[in-house]
Amino acid sequence: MIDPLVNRIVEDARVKAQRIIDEAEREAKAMIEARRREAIEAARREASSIIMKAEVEAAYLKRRILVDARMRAKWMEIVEKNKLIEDVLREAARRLENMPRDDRYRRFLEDRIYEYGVLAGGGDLEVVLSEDDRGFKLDIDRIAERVEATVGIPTTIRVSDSRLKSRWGVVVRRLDGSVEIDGSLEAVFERLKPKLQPMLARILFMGV
Amino acid sequence: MTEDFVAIIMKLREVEEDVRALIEEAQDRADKILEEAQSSSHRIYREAYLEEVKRIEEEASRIIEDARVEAEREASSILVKAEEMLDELRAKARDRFEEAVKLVLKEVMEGGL
Repeated sequence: MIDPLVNRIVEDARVKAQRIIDEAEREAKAMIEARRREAIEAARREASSIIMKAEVEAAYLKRRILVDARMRAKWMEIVEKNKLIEDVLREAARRLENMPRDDRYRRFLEDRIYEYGVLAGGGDLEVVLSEDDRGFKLDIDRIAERVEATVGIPTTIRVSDSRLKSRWGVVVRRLDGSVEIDGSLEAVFERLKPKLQPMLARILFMGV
Repeated sequence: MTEDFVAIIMKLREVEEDVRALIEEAQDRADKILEEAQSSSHRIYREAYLEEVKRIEEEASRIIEDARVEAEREASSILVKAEEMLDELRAKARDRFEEAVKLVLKEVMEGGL
């Protein structure tokens, strides 16, 4: 008669005990979950600055790569244009060096000697020619007279024993070494380059 | 009858002891569970935090990497166009080479130096 009652009491106690344990487990699980969520929230608060920093860095990186590429492209263009202009100048220099030593060239040399003689201010001058032009018949005395007439100073001109390195052009200098006007191929090109480069660029690359 | 009643009371006291022991044991176990949860919560917090930070850092790296890939693709396209433009330059210069050389010769031969 008592046993069913005892069994019931024990069973109820077991259920209650299990409930206590279940409740503790639920509470523990909730506590852990809350801490986990708290951690994620804290990390995300920090994340906004990490992501923002990454976006700034990404934009900077992208800009740097594109600026670099554009600069490289521009540089390639400049280098190529310079090369093409240099090709033209080289070819022109080659033709000048190989040009026939005819009357036109003689007149050219005489005009330059006169011009340089005037620039040098007259006086005792000497003319340096290329090896190719050494035997060329130039009317040196006539040129000296013209220089003298222009600058009003007695002028003599003689052909120097020195030779130009290039095969074209002329150098006029005072015998005392105080003035030298360089009309060698290299010097002429060097002087003309600033004027020629934009002109050549217009011809070569117009419309590109 | 009285003896039976005494026996019942005795039995119930015994059971009451058992029940108390059962509940105390359950309570002890519950306390232990909560204690363990409490002591592991710091570790859980740290692990979850680090895991989330790692995930965010990976996302940040991906943002930078995506930007790099995209920029390099655009840069490559810029350089391809530049190469095409150089080909065009060369072709144009080839066509006008003679005119340009003649201009130089004219400037040198006719210009005052």
